[in-house]
Amino acid sequence: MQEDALLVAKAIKNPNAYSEIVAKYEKPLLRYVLRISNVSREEAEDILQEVFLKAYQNLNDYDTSLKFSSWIYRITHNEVISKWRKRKARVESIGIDEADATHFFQSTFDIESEMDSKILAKEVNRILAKLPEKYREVLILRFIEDKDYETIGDILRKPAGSVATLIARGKKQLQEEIQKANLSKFLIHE
Amino acid sequence: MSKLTKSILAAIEQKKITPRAKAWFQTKNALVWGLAVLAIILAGILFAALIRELLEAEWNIAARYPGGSLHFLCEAVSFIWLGGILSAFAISYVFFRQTKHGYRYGVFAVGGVLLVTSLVLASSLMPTGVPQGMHDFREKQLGIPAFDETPWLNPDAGFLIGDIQEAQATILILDAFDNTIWRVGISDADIAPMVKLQVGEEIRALGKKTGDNSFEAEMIIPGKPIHMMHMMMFSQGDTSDNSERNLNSSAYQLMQAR
Repeated sequence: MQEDALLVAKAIKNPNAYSEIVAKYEKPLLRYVLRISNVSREEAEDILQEVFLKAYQNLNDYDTSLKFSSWIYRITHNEVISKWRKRKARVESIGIDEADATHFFQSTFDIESEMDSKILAKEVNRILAKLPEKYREVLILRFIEDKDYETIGDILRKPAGSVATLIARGKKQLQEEIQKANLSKFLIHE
Repeated sequence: MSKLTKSILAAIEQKKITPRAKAWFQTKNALVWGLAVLAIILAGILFAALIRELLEAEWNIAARYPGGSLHFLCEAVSFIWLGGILSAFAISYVFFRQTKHGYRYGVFAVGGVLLVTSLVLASSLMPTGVPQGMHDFREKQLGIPAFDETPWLNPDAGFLIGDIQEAQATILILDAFDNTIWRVGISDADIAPMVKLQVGEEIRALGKKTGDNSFEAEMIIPGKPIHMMHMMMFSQGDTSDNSERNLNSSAYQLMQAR
């Protein structure tokens, strides 16, 4: 956290120092954009460029009591949401890859899947895309991005208690969708 | 340096983007906090006005009020103030959520703090002229009569006010304020201890209209409202006629205007 605060202080004085922040967060944020949206890699990079430009403009608003990663994830999340809303498009699929899908099932339900990982990834994408946005985003942050409740609260600007509630309800709805899709037979408890 | 990093640095240079000044964010945050605090001050003022009107309501007649105590409470609670309080809470909550860490607190926690703060503020405003000022504002500027000035010249609704013209054991002849003469049965009426059933005495009757110019009283109370605040003043030794007159002057004006 201290290190990020120093990087921010440096970047405010010298734009070239901002490259260190971009280099540090480029990959995780690109993955995050792809995970929560259904955009191509090029589009994701365009979104990310906007995110980093916005973050640069607002560097003086960075609150050092927060993790820098929470702050920049928040900007990323808002940028993705704003893009969706401008397009007025309904999310039909998201960019969860095979490794994400396996990890998601293991960490969400403590279970393994006997399903082919490609099919599993396709099903996870489809089911998560069907969930309401408020559940989808907390589930991705918690079980794919491995963020704790407080960090998720800081990213989504919600109290940690509300995050816990959303996760519990999201999991319940996810289970219902899994039942509906007749996928539960492929899942085995560890 | 990655392609993305290069393009970001190029964009910063090309568009001459600079970080916004710290003062800009400080001003924005101060404005957000200021609006949240202003809204809660407004809630406190409205609460003081509401409490004043509730204290001044004649709770001694609540049980006999047509429609019962609940109806009396609904009439006594000023919905204009209540609506204002809820709106001020909502505005304050929205701005509080916009502060740097406001999102970390749940709606009940924030609501509780807003409620307690506004109540504390309201209680500190009670001894000042603010509640009376709000009462006058409501009456004169908004043109909404307060509950304590509900016209009592409404026998169809069970209210009657006037001067006793003749007092018999079970019947009063009442000269109502609209100059109509009423025969008021009082055989089953509860008569408030401070009422003197004598000619010239001003009284109010709660009950039922039983026919043209006849009324069956269930309760007889003095013509001038005896408010809780009024009673408190009397208990502190202020027995001057002036306080009573001032307290009820607007009610009188309203009735005399009719």
